[in-house]
Amino acid sequence: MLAPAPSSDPRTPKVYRPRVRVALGRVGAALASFALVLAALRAVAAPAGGSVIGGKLEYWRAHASEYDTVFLGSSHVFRACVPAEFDRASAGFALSTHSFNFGVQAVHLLEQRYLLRQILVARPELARVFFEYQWLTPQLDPQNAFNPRTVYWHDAETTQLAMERASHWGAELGDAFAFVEAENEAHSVFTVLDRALPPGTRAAEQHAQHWLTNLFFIGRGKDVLRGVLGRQHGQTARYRAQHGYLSLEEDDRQLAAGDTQNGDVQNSYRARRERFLADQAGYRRALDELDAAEQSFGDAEWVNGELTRVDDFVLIAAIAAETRARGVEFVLVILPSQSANRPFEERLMEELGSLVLRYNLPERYPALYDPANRWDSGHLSEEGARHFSRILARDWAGQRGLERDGERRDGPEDEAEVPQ
Amino acid sequence: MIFTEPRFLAFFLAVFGVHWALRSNLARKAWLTLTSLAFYGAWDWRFLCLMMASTGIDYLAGLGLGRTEGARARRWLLGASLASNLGILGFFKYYNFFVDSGGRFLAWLGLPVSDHTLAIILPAGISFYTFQALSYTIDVYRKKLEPVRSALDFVLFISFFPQLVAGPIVRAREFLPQLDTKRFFARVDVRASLVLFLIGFVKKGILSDHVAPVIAPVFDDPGAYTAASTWIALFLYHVQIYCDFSGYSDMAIATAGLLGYSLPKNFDFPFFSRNIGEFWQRWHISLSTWFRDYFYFALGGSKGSTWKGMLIGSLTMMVVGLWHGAGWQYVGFGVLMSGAIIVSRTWGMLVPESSLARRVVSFLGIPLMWWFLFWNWILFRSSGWEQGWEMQRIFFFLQDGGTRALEASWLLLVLAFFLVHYAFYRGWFRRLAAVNDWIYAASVGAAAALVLVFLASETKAFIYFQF
Repeated sequence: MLAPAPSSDPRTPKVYRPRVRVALGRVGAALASFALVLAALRAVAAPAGGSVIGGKLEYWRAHASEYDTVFLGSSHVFRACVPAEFDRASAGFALSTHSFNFGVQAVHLLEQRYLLRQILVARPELARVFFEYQWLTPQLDPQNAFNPRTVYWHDAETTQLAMERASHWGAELGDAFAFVEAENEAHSVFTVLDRALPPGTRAAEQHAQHWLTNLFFIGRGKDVLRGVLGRQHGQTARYRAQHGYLSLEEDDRQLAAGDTQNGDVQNSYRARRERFLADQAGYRRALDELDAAEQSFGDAEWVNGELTRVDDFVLIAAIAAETRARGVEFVLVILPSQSANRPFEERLMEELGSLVLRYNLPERYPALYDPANRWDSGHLSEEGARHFSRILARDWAGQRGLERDGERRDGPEDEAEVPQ
Repeated sequence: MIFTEPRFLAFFLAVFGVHWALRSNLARKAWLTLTSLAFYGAWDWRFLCLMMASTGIDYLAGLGLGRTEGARARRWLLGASLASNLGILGFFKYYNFFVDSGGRFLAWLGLPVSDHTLAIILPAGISFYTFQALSYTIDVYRKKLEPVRSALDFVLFISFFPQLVAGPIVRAREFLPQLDTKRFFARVDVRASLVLFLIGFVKKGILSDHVAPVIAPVFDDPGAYTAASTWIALFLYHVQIYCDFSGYSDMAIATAGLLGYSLPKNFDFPFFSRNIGEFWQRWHISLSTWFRDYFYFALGGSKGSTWKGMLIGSLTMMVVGLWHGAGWQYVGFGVLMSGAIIVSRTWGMLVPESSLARRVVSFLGIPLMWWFLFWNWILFRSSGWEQGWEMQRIFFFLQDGGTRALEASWLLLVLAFFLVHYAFYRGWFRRLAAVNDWIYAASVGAAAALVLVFLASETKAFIYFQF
């Protein structure tokens, strides 16, 4: 048994006088070997983020040159944009595209920005990105704290931005900034001390901790092994078939067949569909409100409602400007969700300097809100996704024409002209 | 705050740096006491009061015992300490269990009962620090230890953060004398402590925390898995609970060692035990010796007839079972352990040492002990009664519950466990402590990087925190 045997005999204390330079040298040797091993492991590791993100990044790095267009956003994009359909519809407008769906479930706005940068690293010549509009939650969800999905996008640059936006919104909102504490830490003495800090600072501190976790590559052993063994994520092969798009129907079929590896762990989507089918009246009410109100929030099912959500124009404008500066067309897409902030959307359309296409307008796009075209209240069905992809191609192509003529508008008044 | 969390490393670096920078012993003890209280407060500051109350009672009882010679008064003081410590422990740990069980029993008899269960949270480490405090009062009562005059020393003895929440259970007579003298950094075996900390870190952060999510689905729904998967899950829980608890003990001993204090050994390769007696000499040694010295011997131990000794031994095991938690599964654990003591001693009495049967059983001792422990782990880990029964059925009759198989990563974990265990057993790590300074520094740096990278992404609380 190895056990330290500290002594305390005061009578004959051995005087330890290490030469400072030698001692520092040894500490330096330990730190250097620490850094070297870390760098080596980083170099061989497979992309982070589990089967969905890791699989997409893995596929993208290998096949980026085959694509010129990317749809980037949350599960709403993942389940709504069918690349083949979009490309076919674009071709109908004499525009050649090769698109890839980079939708990822529950993506954070800053994570989305990080992914965009990763996408451009592998494909600097990308022609355009359809970027889903999302609000920002300056604080990380304590329920997801330090899980791989929350850690991996905290590189130095993104973390700095995250901390800056958290501090900004903390100062801007003051007491209205709701900081949610982790339940199991509510009575910790450290939490008590933390409460003296402004909420924005606490949120910024949280991002800094995630950056440190990412910096030291903590908990990435599985990705290292995957990289060393050359094992692909279970999803990678599936992305090849439909260029990143997977329908919820197909996932559900895989899951029903007992294929939990490829069924996208979507038991929760089945439950959501059942809730959606059972409460059609509630769905209708949410749509009425969406049409009538200046601001409405009907997507409570998708987010932790306790967290502060902000429409961060500065951040989105910065992402758009940065993308354009790289010579990539930036198209902001407001998906057919159940939430709206009309004044903010108007501002985006006026001031963003990029094309903004919005679809959270049930009156204008009844087919996108038709229950027959939806899997649940937040996601389109396979049929709905095909329809949406055609509309998106038509609107984008149309707006490009209008832009050439110096005009800008919200999109066609109806869906009749959608090519089939 | 868990030893494998990055924030603990930051906390410890601060404690370590300031501790050795301070010159006077008093200042160091004050600093360690303050940081130990902060460490405990990191769980729940409200229970600091409870721990301080328990500490205060035993400190005063000790002082009282030191000033009183009258047997009756001394018994009263000891009784007061025992009653208050066990009362607090009983209330926070067992109240709901007894009220709930009593209510169910009365309901079974058809008597009307009202629900008086309170939502009591179990304070972290209460079973550990209560037993430490009791060891002090009992030793002072038995005149094996002089009562401590310094309140600071006593608070530090109870709250010393390395062993506060999950042991080892340190005896007052082992620890208090260490506080009398100033520690010297030159005499700290930094290498051995660092290596031991890394070993503990690997056991807990890599092995135990990686095993937990792999086996959880099997324990939640054993009926869906094959018998082979159930057996593998039981073996992996065997690995998990050992790595979890002994890993904590390793890190506790190492952190205390880096601060210049020595804590007792708590594990000694328990999986090499060939019988139940040997197992308890190797597993959670500080608890088993505590019960031996303060319970088993107090009741008479092996003095008197063999049957009496056996009875006291099995009663001790029942109480050890209950110490682990308030639940029928722990009662069951105690019953199994008691039964094992009786069987083992009866076997020892009835079967001659030179007989073939004895030799066969001795040869099969280790696998038999594993089989018996697996059975116990079902009680320990089951998600509920229904799952427990299902698992027992599969365990004993080897019938497939379902067709699902365990995730393949179990093989890697088993391999890693055997490698670490074997290296530890063969003393490979000790050899690392003897290499050239520069190689040692570089090795520690590389090992630290590997350990961090292979840490489980989700840090789980130590299993023994709940006890």
